[in-house]
Amino acid sequence: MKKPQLFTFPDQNLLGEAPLSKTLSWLVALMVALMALALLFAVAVHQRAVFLHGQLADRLTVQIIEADPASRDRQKDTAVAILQTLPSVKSVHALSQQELEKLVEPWLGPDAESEITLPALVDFTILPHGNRQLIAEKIHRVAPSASLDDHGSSGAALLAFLDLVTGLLWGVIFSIAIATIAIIALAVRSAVNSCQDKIILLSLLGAERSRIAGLFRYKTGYAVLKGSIVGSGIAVLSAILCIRLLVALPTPILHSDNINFLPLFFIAFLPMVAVIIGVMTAHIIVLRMVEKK
Amino acid sequence: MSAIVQFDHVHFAYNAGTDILSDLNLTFLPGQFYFVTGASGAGKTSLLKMIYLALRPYRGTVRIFGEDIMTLPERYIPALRQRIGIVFQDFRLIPELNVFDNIALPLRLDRKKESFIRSTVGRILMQIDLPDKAFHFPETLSGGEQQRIAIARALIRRPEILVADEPTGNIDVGLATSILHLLSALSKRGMTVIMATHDTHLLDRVPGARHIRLGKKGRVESVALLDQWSPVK
Ligand SMILES: Nc1ncnc2c1ncn2[C@@H]1O[C@H](COP(=O)(O)OP(=O)(O)OP(=O)(O)O)[C@@H](O)[C@H]1O
Ligand SMILES: [Mg+2]
Repeated sequence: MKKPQLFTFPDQNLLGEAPLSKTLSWLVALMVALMALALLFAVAVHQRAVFLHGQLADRLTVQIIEADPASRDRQKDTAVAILQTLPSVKSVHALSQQELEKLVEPWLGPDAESEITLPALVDFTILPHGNRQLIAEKIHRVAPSASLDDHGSSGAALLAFLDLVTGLLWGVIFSIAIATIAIIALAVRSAVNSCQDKIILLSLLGAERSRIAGLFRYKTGYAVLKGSIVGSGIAVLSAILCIRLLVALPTPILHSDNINFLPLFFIAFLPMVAVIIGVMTAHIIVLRMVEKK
Repeated sequence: MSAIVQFDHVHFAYNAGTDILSDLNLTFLPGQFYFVTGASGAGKTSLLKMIYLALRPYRGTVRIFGEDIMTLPERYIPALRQRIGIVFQDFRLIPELNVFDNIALPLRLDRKKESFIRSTVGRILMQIDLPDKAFHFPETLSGGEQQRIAIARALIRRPEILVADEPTGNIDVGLATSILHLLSALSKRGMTVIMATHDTHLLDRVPGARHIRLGKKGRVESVALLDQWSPVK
């Protein structure tokens, strides 16, 4: 009984059943799944870092803590006026009373305003070359109760951490790739070893070395292709599951409108890369082993 | 007539110091039938292995189809081997392939069309008297049946030289005789047959065959045309 095959190759039945162990496909599936997940995770973390960087890097807030409401509002207005005259300031936004209440509500409850004096807040963004020190001094001169909160510097530690995580993930991906090549190489070598008699026979029947290597190239490529398709399938499915869970959280960490699906398409290329690696490994190993005969 | 295989002062040893074949001088002519006999361990298989380029002498020259195998670049060896059919003493059938695919192997290596392969293999299965075993696997066959499949695989390409190591070792006299008739008919059509055997009583089944007797220390004891015994010094 011949099993139906996805791809045919003229030499595929020359040696009978695949001399490569079935375990190879499963190991490749596992490795590719791990690699794909690590890759997706690395891309996600990197994108998050880029996004945070864009949000925080140029944002500052003037905070005016003053018990006297009249003085507070006056200082706020002068700070806004000063900021609007500065060329290095991109945009200025003084938070309204409602916005402030909304900000503190989660911590203090709905009726916070009556008991606690809220500070005045002015958000503004600056151009990349803007001098924070100079801006701080200018504001301080007109609004003595003001302090400046630089989100960029407070976010720097988080960004550095995210960069470190991304770097580590690339290290993991690289290690898995090396391990995958090693697994393929070992599997091919043991297959070639177990087929030595047949290889010698083919060579005595007049088969060229490259032809014999071709048999193993095909078998390896097929096993790796099967494994890596399964592996990247598992990775893509679990990534989609994760995204759906994160979007469905009560306070979503992800919003469905800012998910980048491009990495998922990138995963589709992993099997091709794996097959190329597998085929090249098989070719080199078989040629070397046949040469020794 | 020029030699198809020529041995000149050939010395061969697996381990240095113990010659298996020493100072061998032999000429094989195209279209002739050669029996190689000698005691077990005399070096018959070793001699045949040199003809199919699996062993090389450590001294002397071996020419196959006029090519000196010592100086022949590696890349030309497959092409020479494709002109030689080999029946191995231990058959060397591929257990995972059925009879048909085993016999078809050399044609598949030559990338012949499947329709050609079907008709050629079908014909040879008739000649070896195993037409109904095409889809059986080697391990389900008797020793003699496996042997005939090994012969069929060696003949399927219509080689110029057939090297057969004990091709009748596992079959009864009747079958052996019919195999010999087949080989002798093929040799009359131009194929050179070089056959190692223990069965000296088979020699007279092939009129006109030559008989090479290997003696002690791998020396040729005699080369004779059938029934014309002529000892060689
Ligand atoms: N691979 C090997 N390594 C070392 N010695 C070997 C090897 N193969 C064969 N020999 C030795 O070489 C000698 C000749 O062996 P060979 O197989 O050529 O004999 P033979 O005439 O074919 O014997 P038989 O009739 O039993 O098949 C024997 O003494 C054998 O032990
Ligand atoms: Mg022998």
